[in-house]
Amino acid sequence: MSSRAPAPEATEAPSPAVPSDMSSRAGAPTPPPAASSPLLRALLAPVDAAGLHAFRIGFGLLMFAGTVRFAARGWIHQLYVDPSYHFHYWGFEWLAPLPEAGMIAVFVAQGALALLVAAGVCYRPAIALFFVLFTYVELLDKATYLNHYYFVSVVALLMIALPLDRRVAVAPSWALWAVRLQVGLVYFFAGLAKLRPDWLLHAQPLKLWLAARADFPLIGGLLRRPETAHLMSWAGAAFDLSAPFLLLHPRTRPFAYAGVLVFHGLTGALFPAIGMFPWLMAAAALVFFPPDWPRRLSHRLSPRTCPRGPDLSAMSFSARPLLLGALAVHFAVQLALPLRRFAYPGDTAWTEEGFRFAWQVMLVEKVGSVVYRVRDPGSGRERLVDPEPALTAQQAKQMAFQPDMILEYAHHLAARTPGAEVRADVFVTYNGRPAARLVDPDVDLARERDGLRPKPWILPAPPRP
Amino acid sequence: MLFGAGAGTLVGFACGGGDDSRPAVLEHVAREVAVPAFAALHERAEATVAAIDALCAGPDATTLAAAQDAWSEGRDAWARVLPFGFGPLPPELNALDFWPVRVDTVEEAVAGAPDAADAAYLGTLGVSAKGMPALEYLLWGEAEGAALAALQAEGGARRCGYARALAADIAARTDAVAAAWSGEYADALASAGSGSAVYDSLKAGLDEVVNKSIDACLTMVKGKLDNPLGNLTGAAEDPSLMESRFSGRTRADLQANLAGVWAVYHGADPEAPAAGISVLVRELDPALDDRVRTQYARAGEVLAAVPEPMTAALVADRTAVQLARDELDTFRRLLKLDVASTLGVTLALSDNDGD
Repeated sequence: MSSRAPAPEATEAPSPAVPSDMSSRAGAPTPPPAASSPLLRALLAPVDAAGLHAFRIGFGLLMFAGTVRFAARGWIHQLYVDPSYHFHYWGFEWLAPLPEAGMIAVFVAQGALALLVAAGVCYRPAIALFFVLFTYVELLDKATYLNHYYFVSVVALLMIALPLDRRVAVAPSWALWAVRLQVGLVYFFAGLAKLRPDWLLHAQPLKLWLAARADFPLIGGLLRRPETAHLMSWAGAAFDLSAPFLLLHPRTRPFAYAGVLVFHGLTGALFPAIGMFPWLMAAAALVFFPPDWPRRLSHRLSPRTCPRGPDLSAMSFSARPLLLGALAVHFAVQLALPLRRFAYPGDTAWTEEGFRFAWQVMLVEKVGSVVYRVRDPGSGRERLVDPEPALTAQQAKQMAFQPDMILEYAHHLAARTPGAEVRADVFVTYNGRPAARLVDPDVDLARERDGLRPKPWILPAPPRP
Repeated sequence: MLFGAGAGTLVGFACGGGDDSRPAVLEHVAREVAVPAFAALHERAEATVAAIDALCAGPDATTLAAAQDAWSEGRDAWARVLPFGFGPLPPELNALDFWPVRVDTVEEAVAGAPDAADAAYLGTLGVSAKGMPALEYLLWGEAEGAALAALQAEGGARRCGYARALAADIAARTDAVAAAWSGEYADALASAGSGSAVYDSLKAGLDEVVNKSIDACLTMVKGKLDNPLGNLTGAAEDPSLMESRFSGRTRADLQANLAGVWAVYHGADPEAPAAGISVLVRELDPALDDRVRTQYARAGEVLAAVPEPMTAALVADRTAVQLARDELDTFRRLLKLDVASTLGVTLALSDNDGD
């Protein structure tokens, strides 16, 4: 953080020797065989683990705070105990919420595990179990999907592989770069997703959202102006696309991190409903600073503290093919998931195909209206079904513009009347366009199956007027 | 960084921002639409009490017709406050407007009433024996001439006394609601985001007004038309599920409902320039405002084309009733989807769903 600090990457110098264990603790080096490639040598080089510990502590504390906040707002009951119906992820239809006491126990355990992660105590079992519980909860109902919940799951999964027990003083360089890459991918793909006409040419949905904040202190009047939305759209896209690269470069890093704070501070203030996301990303971006940044900061704040980290020259790590292979697979998936939307036809922000798990962040303002027409072939009678009374407000809102959820609920209705034909009148507004039909009203959804293939019964996005 | 620089530039130009029209719109809706509408409702409820007093003093065709006219005018005022189903009104809703009327329950209440039924007696009864629809039944009956015959028959005085007690109860309840609106509730809505005791932001105030107008339209479509049309069950049409079926003013109620929603959207005076939600919509999307106006006119037109009594039209001309329902639903969708989205009323970013 200090401009007087030594070159940031100095503490990431490659080690000439490669001993035994990826979770090597200070003072236990063994003579190793040399790594065969420069890349491998760089990945196995020892780095001060202080920055990674700061990341772990920040993550654990934010997860604890998030868990407490979740419970305090009554969301355990509201989202998982009270609803009589849940929208399932494809392939996870078998997953169901536990009874009330079980769900409360899950959240209690999740909070306790987050604290253990923050403390670095029983680190690996704690983060592994945290990942399992957090991801279990997130998989219970598609209506609660949030990009930052997905981010938490992905980071927790990655952290299982990281040597972040509190006793670890030195970590292999790959651990640091794995976290940087994960955080960088979020920004980059969020930026890539913004390279759409709606965002760049029409400043949507920011134009809609900012106009609604015209009472914001100081800049409220400006938020109503279309040019403000355009400026912020372009700035937001540029920020997302460039942030990981600017954070990596020592000269631009302080300015880039200031940008991170302003960006997340502003989005957090303008859209308070995004909850802990700004905090999470602002904390995660610290991982781009030199790995010993906490030590330097501590010394700067209190000159009595020792600025020196562990002696890295005595440390080295050996390659663990299985682990590195698993990391390679993890990041291949992390690249493939956001890119899969290009395999689907049409505007995927409208069809929502390939939209989840892809960092499609703040891209759409949609409101939908769904009415099913259920026809009993036996009697020939057709009746209208408004799904809202049977769903929570959150479920009703989300399912009204997400085709796979509309399909799933159609199957739910069909199951209650064997042989029934189920069609849907679905109208959706999308980033300021006049409401248009989302689903072919003539298609019997009871006969359609969910899956990864494009859904031909989703109608094309309406053009901009 | 660019984002930060952009934000900084914006702050620099902050004082040049355009005026926010939302306070003026909420002020208009609260003080020029809601308060007069509730005042009119109470005034007409009092007039109904007076008319029923005259009816009870001399029950004949003239006094009955006067009482029926008074009830109809009160009903019209009631239908216009449909979009104000928030604040002081919800606790009184069932006691004022429970329907379809349970005829047996009302007759039991009449039979069990003291000679001079009063508030204490009504307090012992459930909502299904009270309110405007129960009073409507007593003033019209199930067949032509039935009400007058019952009022002139033995026990007619007790029947009329019960009707008078119902009217007084309606007047007392509407008085309380009107008083609450003319007092602190209008202030609360008009000052949303500026020290309001109820709405901590302009957005919260606007959300309430727009969402309740949408709810009003849903009530018209689903509660008042889908039900009797049999759309929700696949069953045959059922006129007994229609609102105001004894007085034969089902369509009139719907037209007054629509007028009430329009007063919130356009403003109190339909002939004057817009002063309601329309102002905000027009600022952001004039084409949408035009579409809303066109659809409002279309819905009003097809509704007016349904012959009254609608209970008869439901069976004789189902297509016309269904068409009115469909056009009202299109109007509802415009408000729920396009208008709400344009005004940021229903944001994708809500309490637990934003990033």
